[in-house]
Amino acid sequence: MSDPSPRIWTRTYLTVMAVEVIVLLGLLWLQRHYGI
Amino acid sequence: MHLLDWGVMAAYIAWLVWDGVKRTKLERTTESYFLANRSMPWWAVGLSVMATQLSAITLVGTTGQGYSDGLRFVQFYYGLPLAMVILCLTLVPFFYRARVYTAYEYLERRFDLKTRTLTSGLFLVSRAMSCGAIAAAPAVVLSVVLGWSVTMTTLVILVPAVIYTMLGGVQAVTWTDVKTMSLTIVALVVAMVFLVRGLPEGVGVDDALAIAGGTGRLQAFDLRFTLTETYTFWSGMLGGLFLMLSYFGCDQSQVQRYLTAKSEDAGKTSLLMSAYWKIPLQVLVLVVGVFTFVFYLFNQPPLLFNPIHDQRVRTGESAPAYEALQREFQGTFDARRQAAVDMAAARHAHDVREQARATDEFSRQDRALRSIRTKAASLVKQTTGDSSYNDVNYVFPTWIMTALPIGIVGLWIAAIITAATDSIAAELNSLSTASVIDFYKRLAQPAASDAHYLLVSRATTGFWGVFAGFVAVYASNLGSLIEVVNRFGSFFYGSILGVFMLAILTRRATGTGAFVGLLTGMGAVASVAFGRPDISFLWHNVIGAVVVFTVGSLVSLFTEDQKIRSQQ
Repeated sequence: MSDPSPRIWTRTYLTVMAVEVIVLLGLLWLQRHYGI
Repeated sequence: MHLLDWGVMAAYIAWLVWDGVKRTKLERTTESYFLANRSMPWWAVGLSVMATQLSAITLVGTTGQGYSDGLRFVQFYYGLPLAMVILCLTLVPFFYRARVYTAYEYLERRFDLKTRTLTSGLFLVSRAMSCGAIAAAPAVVLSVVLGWSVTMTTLVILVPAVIYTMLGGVQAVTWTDVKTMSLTIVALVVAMVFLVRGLPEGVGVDDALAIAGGTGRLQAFDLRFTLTETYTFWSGMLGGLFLMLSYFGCDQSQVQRYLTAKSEDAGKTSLLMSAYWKIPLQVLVLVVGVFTFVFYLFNQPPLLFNPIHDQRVRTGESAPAYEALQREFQGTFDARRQAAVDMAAARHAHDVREQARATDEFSRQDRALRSIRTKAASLVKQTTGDSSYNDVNYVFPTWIMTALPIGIVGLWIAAIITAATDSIAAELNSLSTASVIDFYKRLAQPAASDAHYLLVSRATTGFWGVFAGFVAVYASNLGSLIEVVNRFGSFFYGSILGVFMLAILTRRATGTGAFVGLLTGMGAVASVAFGRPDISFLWHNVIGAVVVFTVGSLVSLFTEDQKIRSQQ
């Protein structure tokens, strides 16, 4: 594997956190839409 | 179980063992046996990391949790993605650059021998016992489901793991993890397809979700800040963050997975795979449990999911009371099913009033049904004397055995058995590494040949396998002992994280500071655990890490670093 620059890693970490926010928002939507 | 199911199950387990054993010839040095010569691709390591964490308890117990509690449990994992990012930024680079075999080896380089020996010893004690528990839980469930003795099911789970780990080392562990993880995902998707297909005419996925949501089973966020509830958003985000940092960063059974990666970047990428996929995977497992609940709204479930207990109550003193409960259960089940059908019909007709009425009726019947189940559980407790009776772990296996077609049943039982097998294999592999590298090679035989260490490593793997088997078979007799050890494990999990925080975050920390901090942290967690048992164990990790870091930093101010002094 090549050695990505720290900038690419920063972007990767931000993507991980953004994906988590999207997944949590999806779960929140599920809870609100179908929940009591 | 049909002959074809037995065939599928036996063929899959035999293939795993054969594929693992054939890697024996690749393992000629301890570095290849323990670390695959640091050559594994990131995706295989990433799947191995996920498979090590996903054991049979996840497939049987978590689907049961989805059935009874819904999505609440997923909050436990909310801190995981951030933990992975923090580990990629901190511990992972240190481990790779130090070229260590064990996480604890790094602590000797940074601090001293006593800190390494204590942390590695704590790991050995707790993991050896938990390895037995990982085998025992599914062995008990499978013994009831398949009608075998617990000893037999334990052997079916343990023997393949011991054989391929002893002979094939970490390569066998990783590649079987890849296969089992793939099988698990396929099995979960297949289960979901059959659960959706099992919905009655006129009830779609949307209606099923609305019914499950109406019972609170789609609640994935509990925003209360309370120390006594385990599954809340905050305990997952903070307590879960510390637990995941400790588990993935300081526990050899996980650290060893990513130390096999071919580079530091490959190691980081493999950890980030869990960051992306762990929460969605856990949601899938729980949604399978939620849909099992919906399935049993329309298809009559047994009053008790554990058939052995059902049989004992039927033939015991409480048989007349149990029979009366059965009749009541049947009537209430029919009324609840009708209410669920009415709810779906009213949703389709956009009839708000009828929907409200049907929802009220459904909730009333659901409460009545739960009350009947509670009474049945009391009869079990009276008859068997088992005060902790809970049949939640038998719900999903019951569905597998009764609702899935021939062939798929075998696939699912194979998935459950091998999920346990490969978690145990990873544990055995890491127990052997810590025993040989941190104790045998470091303290007993420092100057032997590599061939000698390889032989000892294989023998140690076998020893830990036999030890785990003993713990698993005698788990019911050792119940309180296992509980004590598990509790003991929770005392030092966060505390070991505190030691690694001292190692990486402060330059002034000394070996004595870390050692004293570790003992104080464990003491602090023990006093909270015994003094305030209502506080959730997730917070123990936060308490342990913070106390070790604070005390360790303070003690370091008054103690000299032996290494720096010897270098001067």
